[in-house]
Amino acid sequence: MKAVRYKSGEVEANILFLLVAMFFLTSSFFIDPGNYPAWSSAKIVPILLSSVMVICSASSLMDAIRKRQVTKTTENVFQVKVLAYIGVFFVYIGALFLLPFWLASAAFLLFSFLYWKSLPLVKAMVASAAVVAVSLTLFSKVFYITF
Amino acid sequence: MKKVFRVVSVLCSLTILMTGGLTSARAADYPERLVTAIVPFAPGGSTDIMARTIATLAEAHLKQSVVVKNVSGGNGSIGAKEALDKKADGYTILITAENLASYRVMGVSPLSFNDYDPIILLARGVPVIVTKPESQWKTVNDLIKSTTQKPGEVKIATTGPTGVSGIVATILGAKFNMVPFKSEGEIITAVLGGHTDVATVGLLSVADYIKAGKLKVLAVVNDKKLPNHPDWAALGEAMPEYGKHLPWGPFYGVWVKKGMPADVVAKLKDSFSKAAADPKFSEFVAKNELLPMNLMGADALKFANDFTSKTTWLLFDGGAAQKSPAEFGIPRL
Amino acid sequence: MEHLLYIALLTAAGTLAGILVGAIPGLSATMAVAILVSLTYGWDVTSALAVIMGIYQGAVFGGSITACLINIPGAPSSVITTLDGYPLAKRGEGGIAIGWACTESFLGGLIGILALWIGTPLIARIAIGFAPQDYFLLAIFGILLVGSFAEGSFGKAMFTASLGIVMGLIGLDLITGMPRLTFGSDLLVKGVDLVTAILGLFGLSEVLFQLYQNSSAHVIQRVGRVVPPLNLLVKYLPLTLRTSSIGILIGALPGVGGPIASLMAYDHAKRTVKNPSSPFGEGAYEGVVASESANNAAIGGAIIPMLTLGIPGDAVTAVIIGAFQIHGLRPGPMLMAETPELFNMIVLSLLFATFFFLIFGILLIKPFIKLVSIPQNILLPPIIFITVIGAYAINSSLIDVAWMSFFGILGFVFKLYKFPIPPMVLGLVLGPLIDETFRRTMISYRGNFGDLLGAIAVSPISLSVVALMGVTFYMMLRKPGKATSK
Repeated sequence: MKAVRYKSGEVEANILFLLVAMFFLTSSFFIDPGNYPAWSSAKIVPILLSSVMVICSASSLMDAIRKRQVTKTTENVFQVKVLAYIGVFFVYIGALFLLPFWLASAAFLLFSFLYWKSLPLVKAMVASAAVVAVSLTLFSKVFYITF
Repeated sequence: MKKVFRVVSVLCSLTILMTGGLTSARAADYPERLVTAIVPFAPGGSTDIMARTIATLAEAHLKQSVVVKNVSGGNGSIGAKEALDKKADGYTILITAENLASYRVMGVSPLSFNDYDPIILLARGVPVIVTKPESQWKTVNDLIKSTTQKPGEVKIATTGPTGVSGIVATILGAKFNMVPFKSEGEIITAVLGGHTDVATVGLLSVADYIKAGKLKVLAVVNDKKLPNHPDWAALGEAMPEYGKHLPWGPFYGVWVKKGMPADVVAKLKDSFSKAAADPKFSEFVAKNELLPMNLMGADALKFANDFTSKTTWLLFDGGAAQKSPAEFGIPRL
Repeated sequence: MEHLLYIALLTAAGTLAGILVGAIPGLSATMAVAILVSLTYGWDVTSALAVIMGIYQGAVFGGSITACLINIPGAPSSVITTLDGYPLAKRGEGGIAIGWACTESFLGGLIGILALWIGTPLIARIAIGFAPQDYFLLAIFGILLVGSFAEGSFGKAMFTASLGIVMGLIGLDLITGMPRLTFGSDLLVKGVDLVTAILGLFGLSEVLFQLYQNSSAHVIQRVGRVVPPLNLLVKYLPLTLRTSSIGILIGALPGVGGPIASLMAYDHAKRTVKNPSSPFGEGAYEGVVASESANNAAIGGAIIPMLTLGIPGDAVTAVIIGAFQIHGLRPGPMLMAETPELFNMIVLSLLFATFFFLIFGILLIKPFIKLVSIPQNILLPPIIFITVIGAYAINSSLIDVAWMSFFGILGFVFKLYKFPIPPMVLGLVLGPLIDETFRRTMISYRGNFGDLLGAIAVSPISLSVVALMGVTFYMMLRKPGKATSK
């Protein structure tokens, strides 16, 4: 038998998916059916398919629980490096709503390069923000180019 | 030389596509820069083609480029919303069809024609009721008679309850089995393939099929016969009991967000009415089987309000609407 | 003669633009054609059509380049190509994968054009014969296939597929005209954009997953021979013919299009090829052959209903119909009779485009390979950048960027726990199709199952689809190990 490796958080992720499926199932029942009988109303397909979704996610959750019981080696998936990067990505998406699109994107691109070159998180953030800020000032004050 | 230029321009447009395009300017005397015309439907649709034609003609009078921007989705409500989100400075206009009338009662969006000022209502289309040539029905009266004898047996293809054909089917009475399709093209295939018995479609979409003898006209949904097609019966004349709803059909107009400066509105009205008077536009209207309207100011508002009343009450009485028009203070005509 | 050369030149420019647009995730053929429609407003119609056909053919091939090299399909029709194309690239055979994609797209394109040229009346008649219930049966068939091909368990594949379907239903319901599953939000009325979902699920999630795996060692790509050897091409020719026929037929059905065509072709290849070069899903040449020949053959198919009936076979042909109308032409029954030279012009432009993308494709393979040979920590940040810009470019809306990020994180979690991603994208495509066709059928027969079954029993088209489903289902049951294990 092949060694089954359990990844941390697998059960939790499956529970989350099951909840999502159940959420869609309940919301499907509240869809306005329109002026049509049950078989052709707006709810019918969402209800059927979210039921499939509930069944499938439940079976997948069961698999995950079984795997957690039999396995001895657990692979940790929560890497700080990845989580931190996702965090900064969300900051960037938030920043898009406040800062000009290209400016925020340039800063994030620069940050990504530095971070992937294994510079520490804070250093990479400060450096990229500084480079973008300096070049922006240069462009607007020295070359009179505004964005 | 011109040919080489075209090849180059294709490559350039690709570059523009990738860089997203750049615009910058300061406002002084309207219009100082590009005017964006939002079309809330996909490129290639009837509203889009209408918008591109009138925008090109209006450019000469505005002395500025008018760029058509397609913002499709939500039955046109997404683009209509975007036109309201922009500043009321005249640099964003909305060219749209009749759909704004029904958003509120269908629960799609709180928008209506009341949120905009009309610049000009350009033209309206005429729906026709068609069937296969070998069909048992000779006239629209025959068709209606069959539906009363065998309620729910006759299949009529529509583009959903709020589409032109859905509302026309409601006008005719609810004895049909209304089978919804996605587009007028699919409706035509459904009738050609014998999957439904009749269909109501915009005249333009079926004109060639009628000419080729693959479909025949039972009636045009209008109060009077069409000048170009005097041999087709008009619904309003054949069955006067439907007269109060007619004429009904899609119409195309240019709108702006409320609260524009008066000089901007005047300039737009002037440019677009001159564009609509251009013989090229009349030719376009005739070729696309439309009827010219050229309504402005109070006339345009009255038309839009009457249209909203007719449509929303038809939807509500037919059972398709989510909310009553009375909730929004829409009077019954 | 001079005119012909000029048309060829325009098609070449269009094809090159198409390949690039197709290869860059987020830029789609639909967008490019829409922009060209306004650009070519003042041109004569044959010149405009030459460029548009070039873009159309080029983009469908171009989508396979990024699908093979970085696991991000540049266009929805290349989603299936990732299944075997990307494993090939991971083995260092990225160049060969694109070589296969290119030659097979070429062959599929040629077969599609041939069908367009000689089979138009017949195929148009078959397409008209498809009743609402036949579309529904076809959509159900699609769901069955989605569940069977994916890596991971059947349950996980069905979960992502049904999640895709239900999310595909968010927005305005066509049949009632009312919003559905929008939870009262204006943002959801528009529904989920397919391109946004692909950018997130494939693009962003792939970058995050690479970061997670920390695979700084990049794969050395073999750059020697990229054009597939002739004897293999001949060997796969029967397969190409079969998958291209599937592509033509599915392409000709309005609203179905390239992604489903390549899905059905891939499944067909998987069931009929006994000894693939590698197991399917692990870099089988046959997988790339099936998917790429079918999606380019679907172009010829999609143009048939467009020209004869004025009905778009997919999103791109919908825009092309608009282009016709702008030039004062009305696609429909009179078009072929009134302007036969236009039909020949379209066939010719498509033919030119097919040869051009073969040439450009083979010339471009090596530079593209060089691109993926740069180290991961330089290559991947720009990919994130591209996904963000691609999402933004669809409607110049930040909401789409937020959606893309959501799909990116979702895709990353899916990848972590081995939930297959392609079923979700296909679910987004299939969702509205299933919903509409099922309800249309039920409305049409007024909920009467007896009438419906009677109609299916007497229609040759319905019976063939049912037979096809039966055979597939039987084969799935007979070798369950093949379909669900691993």
